Amino acid sequence: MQPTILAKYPFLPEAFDLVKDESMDEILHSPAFNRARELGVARVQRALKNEDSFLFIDERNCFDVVLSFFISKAIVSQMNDSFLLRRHAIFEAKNAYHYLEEESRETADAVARSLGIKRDRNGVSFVTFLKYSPNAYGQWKLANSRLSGGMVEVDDHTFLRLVQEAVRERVEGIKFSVDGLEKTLDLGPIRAELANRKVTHRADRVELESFPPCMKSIMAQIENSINVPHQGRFSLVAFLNGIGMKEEDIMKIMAPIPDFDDRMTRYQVEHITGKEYSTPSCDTMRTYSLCFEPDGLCARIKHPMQYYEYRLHVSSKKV
Amino acid sequence: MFLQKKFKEYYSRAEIGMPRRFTRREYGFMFFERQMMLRHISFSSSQKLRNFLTEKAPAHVFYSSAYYSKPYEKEMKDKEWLGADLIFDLDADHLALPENCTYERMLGIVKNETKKLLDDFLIRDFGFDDLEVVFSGSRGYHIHIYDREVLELGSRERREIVDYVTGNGVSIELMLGKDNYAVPSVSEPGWYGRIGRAIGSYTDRILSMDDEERKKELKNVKGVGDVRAERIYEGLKRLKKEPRAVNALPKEFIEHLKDRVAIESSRGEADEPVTSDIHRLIRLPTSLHGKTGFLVKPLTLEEFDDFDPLQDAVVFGDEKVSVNVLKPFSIRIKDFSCNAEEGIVEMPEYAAVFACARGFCAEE
Repeated sequence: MQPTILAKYPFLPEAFDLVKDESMDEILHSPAFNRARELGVARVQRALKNEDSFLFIDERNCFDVVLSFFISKAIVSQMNDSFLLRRHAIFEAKNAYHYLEEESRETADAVARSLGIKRDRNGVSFVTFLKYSPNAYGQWKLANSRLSGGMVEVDDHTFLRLVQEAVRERVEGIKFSVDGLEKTLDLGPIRAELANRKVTHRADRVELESFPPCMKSIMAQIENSINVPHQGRFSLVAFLNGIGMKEEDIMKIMAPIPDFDDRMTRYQVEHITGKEYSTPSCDTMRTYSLCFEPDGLCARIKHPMQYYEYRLHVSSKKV
Repeated sequence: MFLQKKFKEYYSRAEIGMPRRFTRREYGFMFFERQMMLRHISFSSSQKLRNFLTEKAPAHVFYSSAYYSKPYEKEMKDKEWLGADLIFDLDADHLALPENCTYERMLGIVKNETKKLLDDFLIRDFGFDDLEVVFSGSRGYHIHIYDREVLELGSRERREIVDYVTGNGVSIELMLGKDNYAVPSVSEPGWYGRIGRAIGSYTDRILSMDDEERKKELKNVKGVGDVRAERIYEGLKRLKKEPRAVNALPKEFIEHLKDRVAIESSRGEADEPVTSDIHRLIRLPTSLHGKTGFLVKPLTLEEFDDFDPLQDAVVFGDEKVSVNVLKPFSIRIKDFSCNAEEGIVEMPEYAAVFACARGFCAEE
């Protein structure tokens, strides 16, 4: 792949090869790399603000763009914040998706292959489909796919969505840190942004009393070591994540599950929180027979999160 | 003890089939004299496992479908999971069986379900080609799938495979399509084709009935009375000619077609907790089942077609043995059949092993 193409997909090993001989010291200090450093900081800021970033890439800036990706990874590891780590990976993955939409089939397939996703005229392996599907509902449920001989038929959109998920995983997994980063880069605004978020999403504000009956009931079942089906666990984890609970605290709640296995549960929890799944709606909860003992408030809302937010709002007024 | 002596004889002469990467597996055993299970055992050579079996002659032998770095560790988290074969367990206990079903008939039913799971789902849809069918030694079959790409699948992914097989979560809206609302073609892959075929044959069946029969059949469906039955009949007539005419049918009736007609007739059997468990212990092929004395027999797909457990899973000889019948029973194994009453009875060794393992007899 040409450098101008690789710059759009800087997480590929081939892209790293382009810049691996540059000196880190130069990158951090030399005026020649001003642009790369600016772009690197911007990548992180955009990720935090949930903005898209569509850069026009040509022969002149492609090396800077690849470098900026690694600088952004270095900033993320410096911050040591799991929210930022995930958000940055999602941001890079969405960018890659947009670039891929514009590519030829050959280029898109080459990028996918480099991430371990192979497509042929029959589609992708069902294992790839399971591994990278963003959730397990509707069209992403394997039972609703066209599966034959181990291959799932995928249209371009579905294929790229799977690639996006693989990018997210790849970006999150890249370990890259640099000493003395903060001496040359101004990371104050990023720090402030992160601190600001923590105030609004404080997990210590979790009020069990305000949980909707469905979530209370799933939690009670787990506490009593009743083996809650997958869909129930999923909904609860997505809900707890949605209200800002930390992964560690979610893990503690899931611990009494009979087949609890720290590694697997952690994997599942991270999978759900990492992909920022939203909590299923009341309709979906009902479909999966997870709507237990609905009360008067339930009749007026469509989503378990609305229930919680309403109750929280009411209880904060009382105080 | 008779059974243990016989098992010992078997293990001293048997060719024990070692599981793939057998040193990475955990083994578990149950014995004739003890209730407890001995597990977290590993073996560094096939000879060591053989020696163990010959020496202890356990009643039941299990091994993990999973591979571990340290299979001997007591705690799951210390074992360091590396991957696991994909397992399906088809057991008569989980199937709807007719009343007073004989052992032979039951085995036939389980065999058909196993065949359906293999042919329709595991081979045709999933395209697995590295798999083994094993007679469980009792009331069913195990399927072990070794295809490389399944080994690292987690519980979540395995559960999705079970949902696929059982049709759980099949969405009729997606099957009929948003833009092109129509019954899927019979030749479409996966559940699309299954829904298409099931609706097709249901339509044919209803249209071939006389008025009275048809009314009775349709009114059996919840929420269908005389008026609806007529509307459905008209709808099905149109549907026969034009797949898009599905919009002429009431929505609830389409749901009924999906759940009660299509999924019920074409779903495969799968035991969810077994398949999604990535730490499962499963019977070792070529070991003996302590509750029957039958061989836990690995079968190629060709062998499976003609397999008759009551002939082919019998490993003991036919020399005559006297046993003390504790409660009356009747059996038919190989060429031997009997209705035994209490007291001393003589029968071939293989029948005596089975009867003792079942608890019908004690050694004379």
